[in-house]
Amino acid sequence: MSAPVRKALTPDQIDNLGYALIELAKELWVMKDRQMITEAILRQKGVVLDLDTYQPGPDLTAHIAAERTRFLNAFAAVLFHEGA
Amino acid sequence: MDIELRQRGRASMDFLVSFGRAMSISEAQLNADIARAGIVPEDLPDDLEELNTAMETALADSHALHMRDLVFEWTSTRHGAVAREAMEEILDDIQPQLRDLSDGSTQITTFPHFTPPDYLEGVEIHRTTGGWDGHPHQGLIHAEMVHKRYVTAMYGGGIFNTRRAVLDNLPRKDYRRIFEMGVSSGFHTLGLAEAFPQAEISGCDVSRAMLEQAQRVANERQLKWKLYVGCAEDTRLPAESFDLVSSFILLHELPAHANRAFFAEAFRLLEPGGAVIMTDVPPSREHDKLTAWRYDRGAKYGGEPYWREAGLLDTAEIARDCGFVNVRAFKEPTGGNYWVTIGEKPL
Ligand SMILES: C[S@@+](CC[C@H](N)C(=O)[O-])C[C@H]1O[C@@H](n2cnc3c(N)ncnc32)[C@H](O)[C@@H]1O
Repeated sequence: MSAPVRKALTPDQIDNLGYALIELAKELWVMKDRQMITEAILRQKGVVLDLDTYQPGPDLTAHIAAERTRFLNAFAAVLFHEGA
Repeated sequence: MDIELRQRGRASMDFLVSFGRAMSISEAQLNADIARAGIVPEDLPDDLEELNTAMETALADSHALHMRDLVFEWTSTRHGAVAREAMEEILDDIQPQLRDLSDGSTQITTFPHFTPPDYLEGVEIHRTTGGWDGHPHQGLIHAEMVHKRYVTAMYGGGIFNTRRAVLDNLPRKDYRRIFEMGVSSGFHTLGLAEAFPQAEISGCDVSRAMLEQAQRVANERQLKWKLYVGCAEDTRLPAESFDLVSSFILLHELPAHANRAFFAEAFRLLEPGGAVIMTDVPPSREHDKLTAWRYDRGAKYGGEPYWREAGLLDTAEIARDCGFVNVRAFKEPTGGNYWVTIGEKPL
């Protein structure tokens, strides 16, 4: 006999799931941002410098901002897609 | 202050801003849902509670509205903590800078009679844990992180210009003794100092943490302000000891009775011929119904517990009731969405 199919979440838990997802998106973004910086530093110096205090210059800032916008627009498109 | 964040804090703050902007694609979707629901703005109720019920009923099936609620709920409950974490990461690095800036000609005194007002008890303004006094460095967090990096990026820097520009509406240019109600981190105080460079400036706020930031702002520029921890409606400073009393975006955060008391105290503090100027968001009757609904709902869920009640007041009438003459209340002409109330104490 196959196991019964169950619905884990109740409707009033959906919001929590939504918040958790956004929280996750933020953390993911922090990682992506960090990774881009790692690459930039490696390219420039050939060594890993202190990632925490590295201040991206104007070009890298613009590059990161463009990537962030692309990333979040894709996220928004899923969130606001109707009939999912 | 020039503050360099660490990677985590910077990227998190950037996320908040870009997230907010990306979500604005839903604006058109919401407007389409409003149109589809057959909502006729003129037919909507005037009463804000009824208006909200009518809108929520009509939009019960709006995917955009529900998703926007989710996004807004996350942003309004998390932005304060994200900003706090970004600041906490660098706190050790900037301690010497903070110590230097607390030393200078601007000092903070607490009114001996001060007790925090009942109407702020348990109020977590902007849904920030502990409100304006929620963290020993709340002033730094709010001014440098929330205001400069988030609010300004989301809503534009116009508010900084307005803090100075509203003062051009005043009847005189020669004010010498100025009192500001609700100094907070000193952004408007700077506008006052710029517009009236000869003036002695005093001001109060109930939050010491916010005033500590104002103190740094002043000391950084060698300005000499007298800052008091205390309630603006009960300063007990000598009557007729100022020629200008000003506030900027203070009124909407407080109940109607406190707003009335601010005008009454301003009247008492002013010498004859002095002026009061209070700048805030426009009253709800100035908006069309859909805008009024959006503001009211945003305030309700954004941690603005007195927004609705304050927005129903007629500040010009309050000023006249307190004895002010030549009272004018109008939308700030240089832009933004600000309501300016000006009155003069008769000679
Ligand atoms: C939105 S802030 C003011 C902003 C500031 N004027 C500026 O231009 O950035 C409101 C401030 O009012 C303070 N406040 C609240 N109740 C008060 C009261 N009764 N008397 C004086 N200040 C008060 C809060 O602590 C907070 O710092």
